[in-house]
Order: sequence, then structure tokens, then C-alpha cells
Amino acid sequence: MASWIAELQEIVGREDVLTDPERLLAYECDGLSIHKHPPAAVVFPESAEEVVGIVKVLWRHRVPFLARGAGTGLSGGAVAVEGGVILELARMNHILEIDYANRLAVVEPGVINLMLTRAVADAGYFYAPDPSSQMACTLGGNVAENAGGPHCLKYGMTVHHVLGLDVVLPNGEVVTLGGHGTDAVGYDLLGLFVGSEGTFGIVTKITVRLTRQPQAVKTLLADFLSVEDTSRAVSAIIAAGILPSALEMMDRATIEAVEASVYAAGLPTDAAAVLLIELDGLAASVEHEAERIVELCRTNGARQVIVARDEAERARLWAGRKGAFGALGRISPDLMVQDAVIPRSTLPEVLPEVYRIAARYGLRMANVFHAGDGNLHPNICFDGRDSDEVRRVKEACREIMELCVRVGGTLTGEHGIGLDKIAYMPLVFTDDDLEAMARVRAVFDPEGLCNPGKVLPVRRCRAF
Amino acid sequence: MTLQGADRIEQELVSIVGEANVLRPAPEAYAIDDRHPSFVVFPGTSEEVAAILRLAHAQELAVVPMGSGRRLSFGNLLERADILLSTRRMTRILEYEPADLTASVEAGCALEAFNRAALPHRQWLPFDPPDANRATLGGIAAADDFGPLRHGYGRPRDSVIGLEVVQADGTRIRAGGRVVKNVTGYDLNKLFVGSFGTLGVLVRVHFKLRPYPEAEATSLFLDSEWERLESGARQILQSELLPAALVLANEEAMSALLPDYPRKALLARFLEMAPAVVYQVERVKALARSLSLEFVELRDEASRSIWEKLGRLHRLLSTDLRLRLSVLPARTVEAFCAGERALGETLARLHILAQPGTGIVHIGGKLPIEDEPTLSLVVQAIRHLRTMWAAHRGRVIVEHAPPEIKRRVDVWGEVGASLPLMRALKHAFDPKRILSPGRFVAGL
Amino acid sequence: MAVARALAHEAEKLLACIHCGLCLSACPTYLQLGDENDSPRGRLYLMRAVAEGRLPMTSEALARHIDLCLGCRACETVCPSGVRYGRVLEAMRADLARERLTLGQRGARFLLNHVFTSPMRLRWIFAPTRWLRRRPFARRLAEGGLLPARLKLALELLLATSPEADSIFTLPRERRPSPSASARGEGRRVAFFAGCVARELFEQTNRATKEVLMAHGCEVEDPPDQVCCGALHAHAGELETARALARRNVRVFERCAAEALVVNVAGCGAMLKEYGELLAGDPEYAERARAFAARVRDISEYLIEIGLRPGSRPVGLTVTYDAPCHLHHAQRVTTAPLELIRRIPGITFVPLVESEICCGSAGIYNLRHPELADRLLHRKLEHLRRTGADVVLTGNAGCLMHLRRGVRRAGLSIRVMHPIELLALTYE
Repeated sequence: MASWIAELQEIVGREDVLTDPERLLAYECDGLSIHKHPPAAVVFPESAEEVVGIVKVLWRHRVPFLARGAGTGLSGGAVAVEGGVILELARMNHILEIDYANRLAVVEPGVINLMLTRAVADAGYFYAPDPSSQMACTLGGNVAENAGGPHCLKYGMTVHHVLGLDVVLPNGEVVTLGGHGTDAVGYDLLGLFVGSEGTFGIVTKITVRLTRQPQAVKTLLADFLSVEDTSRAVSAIIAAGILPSALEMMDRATIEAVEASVYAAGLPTDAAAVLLIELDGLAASVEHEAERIVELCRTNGARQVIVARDEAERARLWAGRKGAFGALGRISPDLMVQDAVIPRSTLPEVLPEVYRIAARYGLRMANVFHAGDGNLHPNICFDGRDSDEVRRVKEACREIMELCVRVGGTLTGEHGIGLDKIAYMPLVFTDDDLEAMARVRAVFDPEGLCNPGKVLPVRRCRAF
Repeated sequence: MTLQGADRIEQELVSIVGEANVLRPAPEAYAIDDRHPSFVVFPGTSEEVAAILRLAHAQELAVVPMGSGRRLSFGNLLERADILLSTRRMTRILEYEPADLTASVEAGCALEAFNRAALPHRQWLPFDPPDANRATLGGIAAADDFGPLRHGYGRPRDSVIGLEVVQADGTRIRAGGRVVKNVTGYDLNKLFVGSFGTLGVLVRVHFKLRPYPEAEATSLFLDSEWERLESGARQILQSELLPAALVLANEEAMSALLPDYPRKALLARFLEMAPAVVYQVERVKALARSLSLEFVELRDEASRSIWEKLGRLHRLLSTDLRLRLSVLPARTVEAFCAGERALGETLARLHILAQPGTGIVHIGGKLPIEDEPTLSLVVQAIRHLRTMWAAHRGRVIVEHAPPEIKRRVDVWGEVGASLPLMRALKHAFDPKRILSPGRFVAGL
Repeated sequence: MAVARALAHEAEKLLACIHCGLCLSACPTYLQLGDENDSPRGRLYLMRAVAEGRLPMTSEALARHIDLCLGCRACETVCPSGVRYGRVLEAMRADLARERLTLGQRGARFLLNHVFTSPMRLRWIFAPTRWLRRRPFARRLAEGGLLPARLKLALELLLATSPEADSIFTLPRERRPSPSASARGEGRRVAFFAGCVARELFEQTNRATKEVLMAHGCEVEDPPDQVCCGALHAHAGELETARALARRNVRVFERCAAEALVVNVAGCGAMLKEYGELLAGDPEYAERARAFAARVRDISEYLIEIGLRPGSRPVGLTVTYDAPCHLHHAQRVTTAPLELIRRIPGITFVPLVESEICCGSAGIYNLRHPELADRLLHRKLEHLRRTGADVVLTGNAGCLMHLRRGVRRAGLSIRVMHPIELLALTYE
């Protein structure tokens, strides 16, 4: 047994260091299960002090490590690609402080996203970023990935809602980033850290902004007979200067899967696609905007636009949307979810092309995505046991990425680069760009121990 | 720099940007605090900026990037300033696709010019930093420079989606992209926005835009004490109302803004669909009645004009010293009252503008004389406020002050445990310390 | 290497899991332990590893983490991909049961296969316990420190079944609500599934159920030769015994010309509704079992279906509801109990936070893993305490015992009842 294992056991107790290979299996992949790399150990800290202790041991022994929350990420980010140790933060799940007067909450990284919103709902607040996995994913993971979600169209991403972080750097030093409610001075290390995919250090405390619940919410469902019309309606809404709180598209394959699942929402299974549009804010403006949107959908070929009658119907529509990715699992044994962003105005030209690429490779595809900010999520249904199909999936993914970059888009809007998209990084960034990123990484992690093998490609024997 | 050396450098600069775009020496108007740069250059393209930086890097010349120069005195005293690099000629709007709600501009593009171009599409960049009428978008990004609209729209940092930056050695890099949602690689936008020209020269900026509001109005509550105004602010913040800006102003500030109402005031700006503006004004009017506060309503142009004036207040009142406090929002009033106590005796025409929703407080005033006792009183007051507010996570930044004060106190205050990371970043991006050396925190 | 026989049948169901992780926060053991091996996704991953030959059946990790599963099936309620976790788990447990058993498991297996299969033997076994639970010394014994922990726990649970436990609510034996005038002519016939343990220890709940049914104009048939539903067997991997019991119940209830087969224990109801699948491979019984399952209704479900008619006597209580996993998750009966409760006259209803999360009872889980069961119970009691309710209602025998024991030990003044008992009180 490596000596560092004994040292870890001393910190958290023998039971809370997993080294039995059989018990490490469950930790070999995250929400994107095509990347499988078992860690050397999993350790369960319960306090910031324990995290510091663990990191110091691993730093001293030069053992690579990474933090993991619920493992719902979709880029292979929470996988120990170079072996090493996973710090599972699920037990650090306490809400430490809720301060309505200053509209903030202080939480541990293992707190589940939705639990925070539930904790403040009765007081009239919510935590705005709402990734589709919000019922399971942790806020620590959200910080690492700069998670988005349907409502970030209006409310912004995680980075816009994090006010402060306590971070254990890879050498075990503890720093505070941001002011935990006030403006810090100096470089925006807080903004830089959010979305660094766990490669800059491990978060032990998070201060987030709480948002006041809007006076009015209106949820509309528009159904269309062609994907092109649907895309045009999206562009028309954005160009009209309306900023819905969410503007989501689901195509027919997705609708069928959702309707067959526990999240069936009563979506029309004969539509080519639907838009789920939500407006919130003051009742006076929501009413007005809803009318405009109905009109814009109609002029762009919507067959029908319905308004959710009550909170229950609204909740059902959203449950259907958020369960869509998982529901697609019923189509085939494996599912590859892609994540790319394009300028919104190019949606009508890009989306049909994405379908054509899938068809060319003989793959089944379902699209469910954040249309309002041009964030595509093509889902490819396949069987991982069929090696030829796996090859075609990979090639199609690359073509889709190239297409999106060509029209001025980028590789990922919310899932992160992780392990999955490293190879595509040069499509977007030059060597100089990547080298600048590598310099930043080296500032935080000079020894390259913290979640190595993620985000930046390795070339000529050096990490970019 | 020897005279011959300076001549050679001038020749090289001229060869890069042309004779008409090099000034030597810098005219008085280009002085930064009490320092006079040797050259002012006006590159027209990012390639020219890169060439200037390659030259500066090779010769180890200190380069200070500037937009309109509005904020040049924001920061510690520069250690050196050889070349003042102005983006005045780089004013183009490079891409603007209204259906994308995004735009790309050259760094020297003026905020006002851009918003004029976007207005026909009912879109805008909701920034209102001090002297907004002169501000360039590159400058706003470099200083993450905000005004009262931060309350409703966030900081410019939250609207920047991409950058093109010339690094200290002249290589150009891109950060982010042109799409509104992007987690591809590290977000270097965050590194450069708010770095005050100490890590690179911003040459292009990509923004996400916002729909331009259909209507606007400003409601004012007036009173002689803070208590009920603060209560009004708190009630607005806890209600369904969505003010774009919410500001408490003292008598001195109000007498410059609205001479007919030289009293303490709470200003709430509403930018929304017309019926929503009407609704909100009615709601706050009722609130004023319930608090027995005097109420004034300004619509459209009158509303716009008071906020525009508010952005120039420090000029209207010829301010010598301006502090920015950042405290937890619930302590806003407490913070400026403490500031008033600490500086009230020393400063003349002390004015206060505070945002109870964000905890940002501006205190400004005029130094009656710049003698030793006055200066040391000011320095003491700053230190006192810093110590006092550090216990509550508060910060005190000196946004504007005479060089004599800057010599005695770090304008940024303490950084804390993350300073080594910042030093390392500075070293990683500007190892020769040629970019605005000394200006940033802890003299980086 | 042992072949995963039962699991092999469920391989397609395993593949339905795409590892999205939405189940994690629904899983009580994961919420407590934070170890993915103790989450539905993790357990499925281990099972998939067995099916793929990457993990041997003899694996310690497999045995341990499969054993620690409550079988509450909360994961099924949130699984967008429709993984039939309960089925896969039972198959895995059946394979493991063939593989090796601990002494405790052997004992449990003996009881399941030789006692729970026979109403007569059950009666003999439970007779002394019924006597015991009325004896004051039993309570002293449970409160004292003499008994070994496991035995003490069992005694506490037994005492929690005692009708005296919530005596203010005990129905007078002689009172029988008479069918109302409008109900009399309806002539609905229902068969009542009494449950093996319930028949022995929850006479009061069963009586209340029958009385309420009669008040709704139902003629109630209670076949004396019905047997245990087989749920305990299936959960423990004793699938063959479970099938034998199922066949017998199918035969017994085929003789009843009832429109519905009403059950008041969530765990039994869930099992009965799954007879179709349990006997799908039996040509003689497959169709009959499906017909049987189609008639099964939870009492709350049935009453709402035929039109609930509460009595007129208000109860004047603040009430909350804890959803039994096998009603909420396994049967997906989620709104009927709430509707029933809300319509009891004189009720102030307060929702219970995490009411859909397991209390730790989970069949005989609390006896087998008392420490973890107690942690879950503690979490539940904290939420209960915050409701300020007088009564918590839950429609499952195991949950009733587990919660009553917990409430008593924590010194809370909350009564624990089956919803039907409270409803029965409203009839004059």
C-alpha cells in the first residue's frame, strides 16, 4: 500500500478511503460514460480542513487528484484520467448561511443545486442557474463547469451568481476569491476560477447570489411542422428585442422519448419540433411580451401556441424538458450528448445541416437545446458495443463541431471541455491562445496535479 | 532613455503608425497624475498595436494603454510611463448582427457612438460609468467601469463575451468568442476585464447586448433624514419591482442634480415596457405616501438627463478626492455615514452617491487646501475606513486623488491571501513589467 | 465464475441506464453516505459489470452495496430513462442468494420459506408476540438496558404495533359504520387482501379498512386461505418462493367475484400489482396473474376512484403525510392519499419536507441495518418535528412501526396512523 494512502486514512478514517478496485468501478466515469478511467482511490472529506489535509498529502507525494460532486457532468471532467485520487465532496452538503437582507447564501460545495432553491423558495427567492441536472448536480460542480441551464438566457451563467469562493490550491494553501458579497480588488480571480473545470483548485465554500422570484411567469408551448420554421421563430424573437427567461427547442425524436417516460408532459408527438418559451418579470410586461411572442411564432409557421394554465402544467412542461436527456436513454443503450454554441441568427441554416450530418453517418439524432442562446445539444443515440457505430458517432461529432466553429460558434456552452473535447480545442484557439491559457493554469497549479489531462491539449511534450 | 535613444524610438514609432500619429513629448493634457509620458501614439489597427508592443518589449519601455483618458488617474502612481498608447483611431464597429444581440467593436469605439448605431434596432449596451459621454468601450472593459445601472444590468464584466488582446511581447491572443454562452477553455476575458491595462492591451471587444427599453421614468423620494429613505429602498428591493438603478444621494449631490430639491433623496430608475414603467411608478408613489415622503416623478428625457448629470457629478462639483466603498448591501447607509463622519470635517462639498442594492458607495469632495495637515487627515480617514470595514468584508478604493495622497496610500487597499496568485499572473503575462507598471494592486 | 442467471434476463433493463445521475439525490442511502456505490447509478454500474463479466458474483463490494439498498425505488420515480431498478435489484439478489449467504441471511431465508408461506405457522409465531405487546414488563424491557441491541429493536418495533399505542384513536370494537342510504344500492363487491403480518399485528387498521369500505357501500370479502404476498421474499431474492405464493393468491382471489382487490399495505400492494411480471414466464399463470394485478388497488386509490365519502364527524387535528415508498415510487400512487387526507373533515394539512424519501423501515431493513435505518429515521423525525403536526399518516405497516418507534424514542407528541384509521373516525 502506498504510504500516502495510510496518510489519507489518518485524516478521514480507514472507512472513508476507497482503494478496493471493485469499489472504484463506480467512479470510473461521470455523466458521459464513454470515457472510463478508474481512480487509484476515492476519499470522502467532510470539512474544509480535511480537504486541506488531503491535498497537502497528495501534493507532497505528487499524486494527481480531482474533486467530484454528483458526477453528472457531460464532458468527462470528473474522471481520473491519469489515475490519482478523487475527492468526493458529496458529504460537504450543508447550507451554512442564508442572508436575505444581502441576497446571498453561503454553501458547501456538495449542496445540490435544487436543494438551495427549495431552501429559499418560501421566502420568495431562488438560485437562478438551473442546469437540467439540477435535482442532482452539486453547486461545487456548477462552479467548476460554470454551469448554465435553460434560464441562463435571461439570468446568466453560474459565474454571474457566484460572489465568493474559498479555495484550496493544489499545494494545500487556502485562498479566498471574490469578496463573498462585496467587490474584491485586483484581478478577477473569482471569474477566472469559475469554469476552470476543477484544474485550479478545490472549492470548499461558495457564496452565491439569491434572486427574487418574479411577480409573473408565463410559459408558452409553440409547435411547428418543420425544424426550419422553428429556428426562424427563435431568431425572430431575439431580433424583436424580447429576452425570454428561457427559449428551448425540442424536436420530434425528443418529444417521443419524453412522452414515453415518467416525465410525459403532454407534448404533441406529431409536431416536428416545439418551442418551450418562458417569460418572467412584471405582470405588465410579461403579458405584453407574451402577445408579441404568440404573434411571432404564428407568423413563422407555428401550428399552435398554448399557454400553461397553472403552476402544475408549467412544472410538468419543465419536468419534461429537464428529463429529456435521460429520456433519450430509452432509445438506445448509449447516448452521446453534444454541446456547441452558434450565433443565434445562424440557427435556421445550421440546424438542418446538423441533421444532414447525422443522416450521412446513418445515426439517430435527437435535438433538445437552449435555442435562445444558440446553445445546441445534438444527442446521438447509439450502441457502444458496435465499434463501427462508435467510430461514426465520433466522426459525426467532429463534423458538427467544425460546422459550428465555421459559422462563428464555439465548442461548448455549458458542459465544458473536460476530456471529451480537448482534441477540438485547436479548432477555436491558436497555439498562442492555448499557451496563454496554459500560463494561467500554471499559476494556479505549477505541478500539474489538479485534475490533469483536462481542458488543454498536450502537445510537443508540454501541456498547453 | 537617452536623447539619441528617444530619437531612435520615435523613428520606429513613426515607422509603425506614421508621423501624424506620434506626439513627442506628450502635451500637458496627456499627463497621468504628475507624470509626463515621452510619447503618445495613436495606432490605427491591432497590427500596429502589436508592433508598438514588440518594440516596447524589446526596449523595455513602459506602455500605458488609454481610451479616452477618463480614468487614467484611477490607480496607483505609475513607476514609469514611456509610451501612452491611445486607441483614439480604433473606433470601428466590426460586426453587429441585431438578430444575434451581439456586437464586436474596436477598443476605441465610443459607448455613445455604439449605442446610437444600435438604437434603430432597439438594442443597447447598458453601461453608465462616470463621464459616459466620453467613454470608449475598450476603456470600460479594461476598468470594468460601471455606474448605477450595475444594479439592474450587472457589471460590464458580465457583458463582455470575447476579447482580442495584444500581449506584452506583441503576440495577439483571443479570449472567449462571439457567442453569448461559452465555456470553451479558461475564460481569459475575466483576466483582462478590470485589469487596468496591466496584463495586455485590449484591441477588440465582443459584447452581448440588451433590448433597449420601451419607456423610462425616475422616481425620487425626498426627505431630511436617511431613515425613511433607507426604508423605502429596502421595501423596493424586497418587492417585485425591478428598478434598473437605485441610488441614494445626499443634499450636496442633489443640489447639483436638481437644484430645486436640495435634500436627501432616493432615486429609482425604471427601464421597461411602457405599461410596466407606469405600474412601477404608481407602486413607488404609493410607497412614498405610506412613508410620508415627498415624491417627484421624472419621465423620459427628464429622467435620462438626471442620470446623465449624475455621471458627471464629480465634474460639476470639481471633485479632488473620490472614494468607492464596496460593502454588503444591507450596510450601505451605515457605510456612507461612516465615510461622512471620517471625511466631513476635511472635505468641502462632500457628496454621496450610494447604491443600496449593490452596496457600492461613492463619496467625493473637494480639498480646500493641499497642505500637509489636510493630506494626512485624508490619509488617516482612508486608513480608518479600511480598518473599520475590513471586518465586514468591505473595501475602500481611492478612485481619484491628488498624487500627494497616492504617494501615501495604496489606492486599492489590501488584497489578501490571493496576492501571490496575482503577482504570478502579472509575471506570467508581463514578465518585464512594461504594461502600466505600478498602477495596479500592490504596485503590480 | 457463477453465472448471473436472473440478472441475465434483465440485461436490457441495465442498459437503459445512461449514467445521467439524476437518481443520486433521490436515493436515501446516497444522501446519507455520499458514496456512489450506494447510489442507484453506482449499484446498476456494479450489476452491469457483473453482467459484462468485469466483476465476479463473489465480489465483496457487490454483496455489500446491493445489500445496503433499501429497495425503496425512489430512483424509479425520477429516472427519465425508465430503468426498472426494482426488477433488476430483485434479480441480482436472487443470483446473490444462490451464491452465498451469511448466517443471518440463512435464518431470514428459513423464516421466509417456511413460516411466511403458511398462515397457520404465522399465527403460531405471532400469537406470543400479540400477548407480549400487551404486557407492561415488555415496555420496561424495551426501555431497559438488558436486551441485546438487535432484540431490543425488534421488541420496540413490536410494541409500536400495539393498538394501545395510539389509544385515543382506537375504534370501539362494537362500532360498525352502517352503509349510508345512497351507498346501499350500489352493490360494489371488493376483495380484501389482509396481509400476513398485518392480519396478525394490525387488526385495527384492517378493521378500519373494512368499515370504511362498508361505509362506501361495498360488500367486503376476506378469503381466509389467502397467503403472504411474497414481497419480503422477492426483495430478499427468494423469487421462487415468491412465485409459489403468487400462484396461490391468484387461485384464491380468482374465486372472488370482486371488482377490485383492495390492499392497505403499500409493500403488499406493490408486489400484488407486479404479479403479472413475476409470473410472466409461467405459461399457465402469466395471463391469470396479469388479470389479478389489474384488479389490485391501494385503499386510497380505490376510494378516490369510486368517489370518496368521508364521514361527518370532524377530527380537529393538524396532520401531515409521509409517503410510503412502495406506494409513492413503486405503485406511483401519489395524489390519492393526499386527496383522501385533505378531505377528512376538520383537518389542517401541513406538507412534510422530503415526504417521498424513505424513513428507513424498508421491509426488514431496519432490523438488518439498524444504524443506517436510524440515520434515515432521524432525518425524517427532524422534518416531522418542524411540521408541528399532531398526526403523521402513512399507509404501510413497516413505516407505521418504524415511525412510531422513532417518535416515541425521540419523545415527540406526534401520533402515527394509517390514513384509513383517521378516516374511519369520521363516521358517526
